[in-house]
Amino acid sequence: MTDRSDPGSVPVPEPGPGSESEERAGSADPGLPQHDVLLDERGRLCPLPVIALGRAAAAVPSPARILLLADDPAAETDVPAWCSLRGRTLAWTGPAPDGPGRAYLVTHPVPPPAHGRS
Amino acid sequence: MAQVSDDVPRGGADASGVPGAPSADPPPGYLDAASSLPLHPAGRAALLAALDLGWADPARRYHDARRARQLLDAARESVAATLGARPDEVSFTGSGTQAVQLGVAGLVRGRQRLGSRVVSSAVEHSSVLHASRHAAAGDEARAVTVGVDRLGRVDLAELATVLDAGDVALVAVQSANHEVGTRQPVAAVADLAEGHGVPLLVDAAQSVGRDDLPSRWSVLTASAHKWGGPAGVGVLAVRTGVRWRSPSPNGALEHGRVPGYVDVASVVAAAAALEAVERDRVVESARLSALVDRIRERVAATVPDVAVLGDPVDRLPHVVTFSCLYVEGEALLGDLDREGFAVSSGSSCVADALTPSHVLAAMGALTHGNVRVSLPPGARETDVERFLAVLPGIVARVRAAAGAEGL
Repeated sequence: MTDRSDPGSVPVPEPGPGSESEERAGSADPGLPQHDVLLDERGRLCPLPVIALGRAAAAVPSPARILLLADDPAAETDVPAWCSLRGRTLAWTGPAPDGPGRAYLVTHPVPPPAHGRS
Repeated sequence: MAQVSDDVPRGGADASGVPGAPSADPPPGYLDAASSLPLHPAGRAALLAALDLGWADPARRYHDARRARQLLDAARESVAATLGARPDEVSFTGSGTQAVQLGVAGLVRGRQRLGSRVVSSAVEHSSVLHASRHAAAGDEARAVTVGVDRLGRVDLAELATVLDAGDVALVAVQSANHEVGTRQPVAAVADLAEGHGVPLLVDAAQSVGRDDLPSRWSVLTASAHKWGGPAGVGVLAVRTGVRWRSPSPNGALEHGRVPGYVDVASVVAAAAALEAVERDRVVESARLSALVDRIRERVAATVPDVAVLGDPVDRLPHVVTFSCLYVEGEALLGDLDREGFAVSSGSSCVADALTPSHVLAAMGALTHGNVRVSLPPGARETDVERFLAVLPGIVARVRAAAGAEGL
């Protein structure tokens, strides 16, 4: 396994509006945990949900809390595997609020690194 | 796994082979030996001879029948010697899957009053998992899977806990994993099983003809087309004294273990192919293992964001698997196929179902962008080098096409 510097490890806890078009900030859905970016990847198959996750994490500033919705069964394995490859934490997972699939809350490791050291 | 790209190269061996002839020349670019192998030249020669000489019913007493019986007996003795078994412990089946099904069901039947749960590692071949669930007859709690570590090795502590709870009909653990190559600790599993008085079924499909075999098992299964024999021949070996009862309505043939008429010619071919690969096995496996080391090192060094899976040392000599982050397995296999390489994948997009490989999932490994390379006997160093040369570019192209560069 090759190591790569983690572009998503800069600690930017600010929940920011102005995310990319496919992403919606906020937590309007009841029953979902607080998040900064929501990725609804339901209906898309591997590796697209994980690519979306990687793209969101690589944004500058990197969102601290990404909520991914995916119904691809491979995501159940690949989201935790991505987190360990990228030094993120799968803080919570549960059923998607409406319809099939699961929700995954991806955060920076807890406790967060002090000054951008991954 | 056997999720091969469209066309599996066939043939490559020429028909002039005789027993003891040089080892098979694998088709160029064929790196999917763990799915199947072309018929070994020694097996082909034996098949043609046995079609003429061994056609009669080996259960009869006349001249042609006795000749068929002699061919079958010789094949059984030869295979038994390789497996470290007695000839009367070895039966030939119609496939490796049938051997697994008979092995599991026969042990369950033999231990009807002693235990009902079928315990297997979570990374067994699907034929073992299916047979276990079938034996559990709809009661999911009776088909128990034991987890593995990140290398794919069965968790012995968890297995011990399951055995301590009792009510176990059998334990099924493979000799080595068919997707990532990791060898299972069969001797330690045998200690645990014996300690609890539980029989152990070892699926040795990926090891026979390729690797040293475990010696402590109650039932051992294998499949001839994995070692260069013909398709349609499996092996079911049952140790003397093991409580195994035929699950089939009748079982006069093959020591009362297998339904149906035995295919003498194919069995003879399977035995001849196994003898041929066994003759070169130790030297050839060392050569292939060094090539796998080279693949493991070079893939990790030349492909960004790749996870090379399985045990780097305690593994089959010919199998290596890796997963490439952000890469679609189907696209990767398609591009490799266009470059002339046949490999397989545990990624869900390559499977018929939408679920990824249960092996990779049990290991917690990345399931997308997955490639399994398994070297046939006689694999050319030049093929491996060319594969290693084209792979980084292909991965980069597939990533770029998905807009996943530099993430």
